[in-house]
Amino acid sequence: MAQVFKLLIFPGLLFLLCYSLFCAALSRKLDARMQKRRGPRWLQPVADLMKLVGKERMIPARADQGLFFMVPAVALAAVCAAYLYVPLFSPLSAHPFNGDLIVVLYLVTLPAICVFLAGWYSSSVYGSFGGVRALTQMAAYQVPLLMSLLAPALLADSWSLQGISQFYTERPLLMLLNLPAFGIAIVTSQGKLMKSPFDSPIAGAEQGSGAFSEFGGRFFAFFDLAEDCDTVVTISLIAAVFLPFYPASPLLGFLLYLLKTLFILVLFSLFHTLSVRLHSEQVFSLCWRYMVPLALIQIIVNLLVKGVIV
Amino acid sequence: MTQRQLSLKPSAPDGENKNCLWVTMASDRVAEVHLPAGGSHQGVEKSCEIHSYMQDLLILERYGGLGPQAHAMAFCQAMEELAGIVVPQRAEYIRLIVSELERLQCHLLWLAGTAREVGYDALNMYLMNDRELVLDCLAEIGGNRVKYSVNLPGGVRRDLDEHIRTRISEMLDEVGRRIKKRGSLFRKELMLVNRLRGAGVLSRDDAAAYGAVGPLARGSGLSRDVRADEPYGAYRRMEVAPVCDDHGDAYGRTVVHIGEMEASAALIRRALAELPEGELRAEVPERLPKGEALVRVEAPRGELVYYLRSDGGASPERLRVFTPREANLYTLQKIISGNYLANIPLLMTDYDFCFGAASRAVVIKGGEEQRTVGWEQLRDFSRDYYLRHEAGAGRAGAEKEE
Repeated sequence: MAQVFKLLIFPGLLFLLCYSLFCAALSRKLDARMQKRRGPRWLQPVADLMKLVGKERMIPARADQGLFFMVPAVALAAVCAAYLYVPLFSPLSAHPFNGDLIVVLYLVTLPAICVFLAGWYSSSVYGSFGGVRALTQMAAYQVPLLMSLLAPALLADSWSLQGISQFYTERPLLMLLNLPAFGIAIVTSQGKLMKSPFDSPIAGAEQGSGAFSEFGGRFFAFFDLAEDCDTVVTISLIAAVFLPFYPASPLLGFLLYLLKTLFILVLFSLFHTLSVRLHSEQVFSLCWRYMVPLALIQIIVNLLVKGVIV
Repeated sequence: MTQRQLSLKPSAPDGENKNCLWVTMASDRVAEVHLPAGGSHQGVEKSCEIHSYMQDLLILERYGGLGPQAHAMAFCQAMEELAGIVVPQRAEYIRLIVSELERLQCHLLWLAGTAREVGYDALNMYLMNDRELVLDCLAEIGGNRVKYSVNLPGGVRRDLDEHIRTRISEMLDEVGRRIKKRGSLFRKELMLVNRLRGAGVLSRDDAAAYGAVGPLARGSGLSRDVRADEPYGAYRRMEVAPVCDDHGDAYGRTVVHIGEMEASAALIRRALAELPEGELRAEVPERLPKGEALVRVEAPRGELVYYLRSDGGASPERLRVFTPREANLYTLQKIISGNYLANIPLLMTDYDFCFGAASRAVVIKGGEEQRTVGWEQLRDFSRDYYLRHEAGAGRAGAEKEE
């Protein structure tokens, strides 16, 4: 019974959906306020979702029928599964085990691949352009993102999020060493979430909606929801890796979780308000010329420090 | 990768553009551009031939979305040339002031479009906000935010009194300050500059060969500006130095637009200081004498040419309007080919913009009763509406969906 509660209600599906819709509204509101706009109302994401779900189901004749159906669901399922392995209000996640960090990283990569598949198999020119862009972009941001998230784990000498938390709770000051990695994670995870400046796969200005051109109604609703959930999973993961400090009381822990994730969300908002959409070449140059060397230096420094303290 | 054809129709890339554009992509670059012109033929010239001169003035003010002053002024100048009338100096100065205000608002919109197309939404919103100040000023002069028709054959129909003159100079102070800020952002912000550099390169020779006009030509270092080359109206008493840039890409054009806005502000200030006293309008006969006239003015987007032929009747025998948009059509084709797909929307904004008009008063009819709601009230109403419905309407919307 407790397992089912964990899976479906808290911290599983239901809580994730509610929180991700709230975060979507907050993020849109923040963006709008930074652009001198009023922004949508707080329930707008919910209204959008309901409207989309209620719409007619349409699959283009030339598209791959099965994949068109499945890909949005797989994207949503992958992020929801990843959420179960991220610790929220105590060092233990819903299903902790040794190596859960790797599993989470693997699962949060899936939505980007789903975007590619969606674009490619919808057999539309705009869709395939968007899909190819999503895949190309993945080759750019994925490496620095993984390196930046693995750097603190290397220092802690543990592949589990619980182990990382334990290590840094004993030596909190060492977390300051990971600040560059934190910065890299903030920047490159925008690529994962396809937010500005890495939003060329879904850039409306030149190619309809890119990979999602042919998706409408509930298929798009699923993608939209997957994207919102992906945001929450990503900010939770960054919080769990870079700010792994938990108070003893679960209630306080939960409040601290909200505080941490919202802080990261505000950083996200600031970053993509201040940035210009990059095209593929520039994405590569940013990631491989600046982010990867920086992440490498971070890893080398972490290894050296580990040698000194152990 | 095989070649693929993409249609960038009005619905797909940029809703405001009325031209349909077909591009063939080879890998990530544009190999070939096909631009069938005349996507929205309005028959303006023909309809001008069957209406009277005064009616034509109204039609021509609605030629494009954005340049009512340039069109109306060119048409009035053509009529004045035919009738052999000397326009009062005060009227010429007022025309200059309104033209430059129009340039200011058009360029702000252009910059906002550029910011939007490179994905910098925050800057886009800020620039649109700045443009509002100019539009408010124009509304106070002409009575409308977008169709501020101040021209009449032989002069102008609105005077600039002391109050409006102070309003304009206050607005110029504020907008000038903001342009300075935004300008340094466009010139120095690294991400923005990197994105604009090298997008849609047009060399000086190509610009000359394709007959580019306006900021598009000046961004390639080609000094073409009717205000300087062949001054008309009050420009004869001012020296206008064309703002040029040698980059020849989107960045160069951006720099030109910013420089021109600063120059426009200076021109308006000088015209306000020198504004002579006198009549606003000279009489123009209803029927123009037989003859023909060719007039060139510098519209915000470039050289605008009007050819008018009269056979002595109540309406023109022939009217030909050559807009800067028409002149730059082939240049657009040139600058798009060889570019990334991602740059196309940016280059389309380089080329043109279109927007609908904004209405100013609404007549509410309910049975016998009829009342007119003024503009001030409408603005206040819309502000109050959003403040009042901030919380409540969202809930109502969500319930309705259920």
